[in-house]
Amino acid sequence: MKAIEISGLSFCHDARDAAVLSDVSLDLDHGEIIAILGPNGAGKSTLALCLLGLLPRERGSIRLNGEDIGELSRAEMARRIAYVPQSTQSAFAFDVAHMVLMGRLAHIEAMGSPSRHDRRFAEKSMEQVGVWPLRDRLFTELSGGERQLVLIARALAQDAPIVVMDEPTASLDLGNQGRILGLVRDLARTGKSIVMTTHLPDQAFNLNCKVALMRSGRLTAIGPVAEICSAESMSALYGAPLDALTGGTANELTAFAPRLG
Amino acid sequence: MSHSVKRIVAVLALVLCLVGQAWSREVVDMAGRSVAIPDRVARVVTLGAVPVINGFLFALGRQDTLVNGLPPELTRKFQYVFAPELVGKPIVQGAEKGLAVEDIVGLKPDLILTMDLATARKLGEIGLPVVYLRWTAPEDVKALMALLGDLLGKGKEASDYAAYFDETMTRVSALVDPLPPARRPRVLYVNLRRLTQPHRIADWWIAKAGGRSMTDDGREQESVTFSLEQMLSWDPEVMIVADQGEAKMAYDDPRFQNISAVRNRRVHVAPAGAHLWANRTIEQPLTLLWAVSMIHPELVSQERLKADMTAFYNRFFHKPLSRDQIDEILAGSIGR
Amino acid sequence: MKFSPARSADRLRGDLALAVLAGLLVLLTLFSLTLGRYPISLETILDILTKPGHASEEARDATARTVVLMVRLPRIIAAVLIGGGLSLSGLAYQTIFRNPMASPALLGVSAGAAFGASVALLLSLPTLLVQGAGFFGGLAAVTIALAANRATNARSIVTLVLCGMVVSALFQALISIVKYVADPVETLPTITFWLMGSLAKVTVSDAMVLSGPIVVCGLALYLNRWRIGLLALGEHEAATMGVDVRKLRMAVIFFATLMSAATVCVAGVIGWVGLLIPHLARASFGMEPGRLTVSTALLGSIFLLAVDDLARSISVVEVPIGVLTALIGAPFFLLFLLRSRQGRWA
Repeated sequence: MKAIEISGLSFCHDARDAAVLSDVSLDLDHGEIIAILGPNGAGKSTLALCLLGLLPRERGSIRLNGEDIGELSRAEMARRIAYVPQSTQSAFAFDVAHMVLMGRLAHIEAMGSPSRHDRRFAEKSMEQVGVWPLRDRLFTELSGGERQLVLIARALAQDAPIVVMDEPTASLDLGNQGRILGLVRDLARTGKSIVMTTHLPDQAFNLNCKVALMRSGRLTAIGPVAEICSAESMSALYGAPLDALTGGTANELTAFAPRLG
Repeated sequence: MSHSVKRIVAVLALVLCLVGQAWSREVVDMAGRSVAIPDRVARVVTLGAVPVINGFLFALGRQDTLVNGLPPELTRKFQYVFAPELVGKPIVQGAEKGLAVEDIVGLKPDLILTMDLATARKLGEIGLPVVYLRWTAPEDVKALMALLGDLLGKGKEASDYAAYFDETMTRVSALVDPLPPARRPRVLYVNLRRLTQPHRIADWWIAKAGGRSMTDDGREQESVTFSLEQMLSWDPEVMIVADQGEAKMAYDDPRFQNISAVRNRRVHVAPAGAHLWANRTIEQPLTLLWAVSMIHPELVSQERLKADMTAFYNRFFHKPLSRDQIDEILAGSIGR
Repeated sequence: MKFSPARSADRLRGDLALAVLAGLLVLLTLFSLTLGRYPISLETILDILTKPGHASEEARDATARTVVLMVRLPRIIAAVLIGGGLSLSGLAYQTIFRNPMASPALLGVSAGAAFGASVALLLSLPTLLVQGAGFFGGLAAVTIALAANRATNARSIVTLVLCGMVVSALFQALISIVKYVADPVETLPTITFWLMGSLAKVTVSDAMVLSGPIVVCGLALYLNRWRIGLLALGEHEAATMGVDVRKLRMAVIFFATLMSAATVCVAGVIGWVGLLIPHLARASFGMEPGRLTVSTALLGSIFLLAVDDLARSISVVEVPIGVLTALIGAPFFLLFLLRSRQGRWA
């Protein structure tokens, strides 16, 4: 059974508006990573939100490990799929340990509070991600990169087999980007399935993962990154002339840069 | 020819002016204001404490001049018993000192009476014939009645009333003055819903009637507010309330059950005739007699009181009241 | 595993602080029992509290018993319950609306309750009906705000707050009309005094009636403290972490409204407590939900009890408590804002 099976998914915000997502279908195996590429407004984030059950789908089905998400309660969903948002706004200053611990709520019944086991699990997650030294700092006082790491630690603490990350490296410098990508690769190696939306095709090359191209709410191509991403396909995707830059230790990395007219 | 016509017209005009002058005069009201009032007053508007001022007119037999009605929150049944013509008359004041000035002007009053200085000034400024009446000290009512008697051509009735007032005071003093302080019980006139004593004059008539008013502290303000604990601390032996609803409240509330007045069933409802007797009203002499009959029943009996009441309403209001009506007045208003 | 010793020491210190707060509340309660115009010694008070009365006791002793058990104690219990209840409501609202400026009155419960009670006072209804009208007025206002929000398609937190503001404003206008037509001699002062909030007339039955909703709802909010805390992160994140956002939000609004409406119908409109106390609690005890909830309730109770003590002893005429909470609360809050760290808000 596949970890994720999306079939014929369609969604629009308003009955009158044009569809934001049209007939999207994709599969993901356990331990696989898929990077969703596309221009702004292509519907990448919407797809992520639909996958998480945060937006009601118009048509089509979404299955997690064979179960239709429509049949699952919020608590059951939380145990199957975790979310790392692009950023988080909190009106109140939680400390890092508290933030990460909150991920355990998926496993705590309605009126309970975190047990010793939950606290230990959260601590392990913080260590794994490397944010243990930050545990007493206030989340609001951290840098962008540190915050993203904490959110990943929280998703880890949630202990769900699938993790959805919405542009996890947006607004991060190259060093932090590397840290995050490394973490994604390690998570996949432990058997988690990862759905990642991103602007940057080179990240897909770096992770050597499956790629799906989205444009105007439709999936135009899906497959291994080496097959799907070429200068032509990328230029078509972004609607602008792009140059491919190949490099890396064995020429296996390709980045793309816009060609100025 | 034209010369003679002009002279006749001039003389006529002069005569008319002189005659016109004789039809109104200058009066000084109780705030020292000069007001022009017609000699013959046929239409009177009463503002503010309407039932109280109406009462003055009842006692002078001039209720026929009243042209405005009673606002609903101040209405009393006996106002209409003494002045049946009041029914259906237009109301010219609302809540929050809202005066329907245009309506007042529309009533074409010869005289406007009020006990509120701000109202008097305001209406005086627009040229209306408003007279300010003041009743702060208990004895003021005599001067007040004298002024009204003068305005309404009932000077004799006014001095009649003043004489009766003095007579009653003397009578009560004779009964009460010999009493030593130990025999003067603690009395409290109270509005139980809001824990206030609303009218300073009550301190006076309670004292005059041989009681010790617990709120008599020489204050300047009309009303005083106190806490529940304070009331329990005073432990009045006699309590006077404004309506039967409050009397029931006093007996029913478990927090009051240890107060002497409640234990000895000496919670009395103030009677209400033209107005509530506990407040300033033309019936104040009766208030005194009633108070004595409550505080010192051995000095004035109920029969005596009722006889005095019948005589008063006969003599001053020219209204013979039946036994039932007297009892109704004594029972006080039902309240909410 | 590295079970951080620093954390458990921290937790121990937090628990100790809570115990101190609880002890402070008990002491303040005893102290409050000694305050009042009727002179009673502490010894007598303790006697009254511990030994039952007998029919044959002297009038003076019976009055002292009345004063302690029927005048002071219900009032103190009411202050404790209302202070705790309003603070917990405020905490819950600030969390679910993700807004540190939220108060229990956000959705219009105070304005609605005040209107209901004002109309009842205008019609000269007995006290029980005034309280009932206040209670249902409060519930009605919040229901209208929720229904209005449902009717809009946006269904976001912002529109809910806006609907609450509109409903509040509407009921405030209606209250003004009631005050305008009320008889200025008896009714208007009663309404005005009621609107300013007062514990002066709290009876034994009032205190008992109050305890039901506040204890039950307070407990409900406490038991769900972790899930409610999650709502502070926003709808999407809370949902992905396992919270049924809409249901939980409705439940919290329900409990908080019930508590607030109950307090308004017994004691009139008392503001600032629900806004100020959660901030104090967060600043002193941190965000850990258990400690935060308990400390909020305790601080709220202590605060309102202290303010009520002040209200009835500061002068001969009693000061309405709603006035005092504003007079004390506002500068206090300003001071707090000036001294708090910038990092507290996002």
